[in-house]
Parts: sequence; structure tokens; C-alpha cells
Amino acid sequence: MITINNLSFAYKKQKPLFNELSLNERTGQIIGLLGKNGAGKTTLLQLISGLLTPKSGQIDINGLNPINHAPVLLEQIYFVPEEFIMPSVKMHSYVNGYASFYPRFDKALFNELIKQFELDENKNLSKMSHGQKKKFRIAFALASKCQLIVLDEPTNGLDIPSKAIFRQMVAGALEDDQTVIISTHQVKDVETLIDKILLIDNGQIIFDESIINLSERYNFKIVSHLPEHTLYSELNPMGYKVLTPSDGETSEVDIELLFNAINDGVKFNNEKPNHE
Amino acid sequence: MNNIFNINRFGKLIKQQYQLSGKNLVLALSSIFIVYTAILLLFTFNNSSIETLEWLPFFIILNTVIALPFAAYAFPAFRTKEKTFDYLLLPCSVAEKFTLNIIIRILAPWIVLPTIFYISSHLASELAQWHNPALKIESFSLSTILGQINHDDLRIAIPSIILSALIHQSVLFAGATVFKKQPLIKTLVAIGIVASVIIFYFYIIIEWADIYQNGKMPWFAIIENKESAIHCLLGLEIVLLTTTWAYAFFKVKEKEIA
Repeated sequence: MITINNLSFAYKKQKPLFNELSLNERTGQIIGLLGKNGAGKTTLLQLISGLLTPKSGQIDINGLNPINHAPVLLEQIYFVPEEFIMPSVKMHSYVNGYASFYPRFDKALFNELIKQFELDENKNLSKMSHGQKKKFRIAFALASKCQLIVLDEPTNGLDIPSKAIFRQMVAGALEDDQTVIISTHQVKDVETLIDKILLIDNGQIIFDESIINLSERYNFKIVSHLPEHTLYSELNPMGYKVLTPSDGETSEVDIELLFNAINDGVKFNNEKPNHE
Repeated sequence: MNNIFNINRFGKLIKQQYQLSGKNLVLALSSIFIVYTAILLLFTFNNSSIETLEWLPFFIILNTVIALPFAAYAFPAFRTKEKTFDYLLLPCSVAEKFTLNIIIRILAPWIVLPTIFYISSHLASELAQWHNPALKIESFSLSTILGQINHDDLRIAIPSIILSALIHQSVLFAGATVFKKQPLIKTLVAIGIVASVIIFYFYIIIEWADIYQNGKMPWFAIIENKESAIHCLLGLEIVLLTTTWAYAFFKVKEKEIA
């Protein structure tokens, strides 16, 4: 569904952000896009959505080039940016104005999500808090049933209960043909949600692995003493957070630990993990 | 579905604009009506007799003062990065978004503003005469004014004058697609620079270089009579209008958020 071939991009008067980046993602996944500050996560999302033009290379979403801004593709994409401005209208006016552009928009689901997020339907959107606005946009995105939903730092500004609701909503509201890309720094917020991790650094995808594979091949646990074959460890108030090869049992992936391990130089491959 | 222009999608875009800006539109039109009426009341109360033709300067000045800045602030979403973001991702074609802005920002004022002026001027006339029945006020009527224009040269120039006004609006409209902040001022500065270059060019070739000495006629003096001159002007204006709209269209098409 998302194919990127040899993508290069640079902002004006800046060094290249992406150089020959390639990516191929199938439909029906929740992808976590991770990376350090300035790695280009938001830029990559904007390129995928056609908001920026690549210097070279091709981007293909469902067989269409997003830079052409074809309505047939735009009605399949919903992007919730990190920062946005809401118009000074009530919720129903916004929904009446925008929903008709999305052929699969589910009004009942939208109402349910609004109820779950405890948003006041009669409140002017521009007068809502940032967290409330974000919840509204997330609810609209999920109700749009677009085939590609892009969420840039979706949990920024959400209170703790809303983060839990967000995870439930995303996990429960998606259909098989939908793909969600979540770019976030707050990996704990999406840890139990994502199916796949994409890690971006120095203009390249440096890690591209499904959570299931990771959980089958590695153990992420907290221990009091460092075990043998530790690939990576961090001090923790309870001892050590360690990443080790799997002992045969699946383990819940600690994305933060994984992220730090990759940044520390731990190499992962399909066969057997080893430490450089 | 047609990805260039689809009438159903265009209808959705109109509905979306109405849902988001309907209230602001009503407020803006009400404000214009109040300002027009107040100014025209001052005019009627300060004159003992008003002929139809005397309304014309007010008609031109007031409508110009509103219409030109209104065109200069087309594509309001382009003023901020966040709004540009949502506007570009709205599932409509560039042609649909562009057409709607042309209709709202350039063409609609030609109907809406004269209508408001007509109502305001009649209201001002009625109120003035109610206050002082001795006043001799002829109501504003565009058809009467046009009927009173007997000069043939002016009559054949009317299409050219209308096109000229459209070009002024369109240049400012195009500026709104280029400049993110303060498009009116920046476009006026850009126009000023271009106009200065043109004036400087003619000054150089006519006054300084004096290349048309000894009875040699300049290239633009080949037009034999006034009618031909107006036709040439009309042709030039159509080309200029088309070029301006095409330029604005491609600026919208190439719009990015960076």
C-alpha cells in the first residue's frame, strides 16, 4: 500500500534529510514511526501525504502519487498533525462540512468516540483545550475510516485516562484495510498498540520489524542481576532493564529499551541477535 | 470519479465553506451594509439636492475599497501553516478550490457589493427625505447612470473598464497565493516595482534615448483610431487576466507547507 523508492529530500538551504530512503508497507497495520528529534519523522509523514515534494524518488500510496493531490487519494488519507488550528464552529458544523468528503465516514462511530472521550458537542471547537481538540481530531480521523490514518504525536496533550481510551479506540475502531502510522516520542503511550516499529535515523530507515517477531526473538525484562547474553541493559530502581535473546517464551516488547539499544549500537537481524 | 473537476465534490466544498464561514460572512455583509449606509447618510444629509450621477463616485470608491482588499486576502488558509495543512489535504481538486475562490473573492463582489450599495443608498435617500421632505434626491440607479453616459468613446470602453477592474482584483488575488503574510501590501509593492520598471523603460526609449526622433513612430503608435485602440486594449486585458489567473492557479497547485 505504501511504497517509497529512493526518496531524497532536503529543506531549502539545509543539508539533505533523506537520502535514497526506501520503504514498503502493506495494508492493515499500526506502524510506530520512531526517531530522535530532528530525524525527519514529521517530514516523512508530510511527504507520504503529499504536503511536501521529494527532491527525487517515488512515493506511491495505493498506486497513486500523493504529490498530485488527487481527490481520490486525499479521501483515503486523514492526517492529524501535532499542531493545528480549529475553526470557530461547533462540532456538528465541522462534521457537516467535512464528513461528506470521506465516503466511509461513520457518524455512529464518531458519536461513540466523542462520548468515550467525554467531549462536549455544543462547545465551540476553537475554545476547546489543546487536548480536547486533539481528541476531537483523533475521533474524526478514526470515524473517517480512511485507508491511511496518519497521527503525528497523537498523545501529546492528552490526559492519562484519555491515553488509555485512545489506545482502546485505535485498536477497536480499525478495519482490515486500514493502516495507521503513529509518530511519537512517547513510546509508552503506544507500546501495546502498534504492530510494527519503523526507526528512522540519518535519513534512513534503520529498523523495520514487527512487534510479534521482536517478542518471539527477544526478552525484555527487569532483573536484579545482569544475566548472561545481555544485549543491552539500563539501570532501573528495581535493578536492571535488560534486553536478551529469547529463551523460548514470548515477551512484551519494551519499545523504549529497544530504541535505546538500537541507538547504543545493538544490531538486530532475523537470525540471531548479537552485540557489537 | 473525475479528479480534475467534479460538480458533486464542488457542491460539498461550497457546503463546507458555508458550514465553516457562514456566520462570518453574514457578519461581514452586515458590517459593509452599516458602513455604506452611514457614509451615504452623511452624504444625503449634507446635500439639499442629489442627482443620480452624483452617487457614482461613492459607488466606485466604496466598492473598490471593499473589493480589492477582499481579493487580496483570498485563500485565507494560506496565511498560517496549520490551516494550509488542512486545506491541502481537503479531498478536493485544485481546480475546485481555485474556482470557488475565484467565485467568492472576485466574481461575487460584482453582484453583492452593488446590491448592498443599492439598498444602502435607497435607505439613505428615504431616511434623508423623511427627515427633511424639502430635499430633492434622485435615487441611485445604475441603469439610469449608464443611460446618461452619452459619450460614445466611454460606452465602447465600458467592457475594457470592467476588465481592468477584474485585472486589479485578479493581480491582488494572485498575490494572495504567493505571499503568506500581508499579501495586500506585498502585492502592491511588487506591482509598484513592475510599474516603475515599465515607466523607466518608456522614459529611457522616448525621452533619454530619443529613438523616435525625426517623425519615426513608436511601435505602440500603429493603432489608427480610438476604436482599434480600445479593441487592442481589450485583447491585452483578456491576455493579462488569463495569465494572472493561470499564474495564481499554478501557485495553488504547487503549494506546499514548507
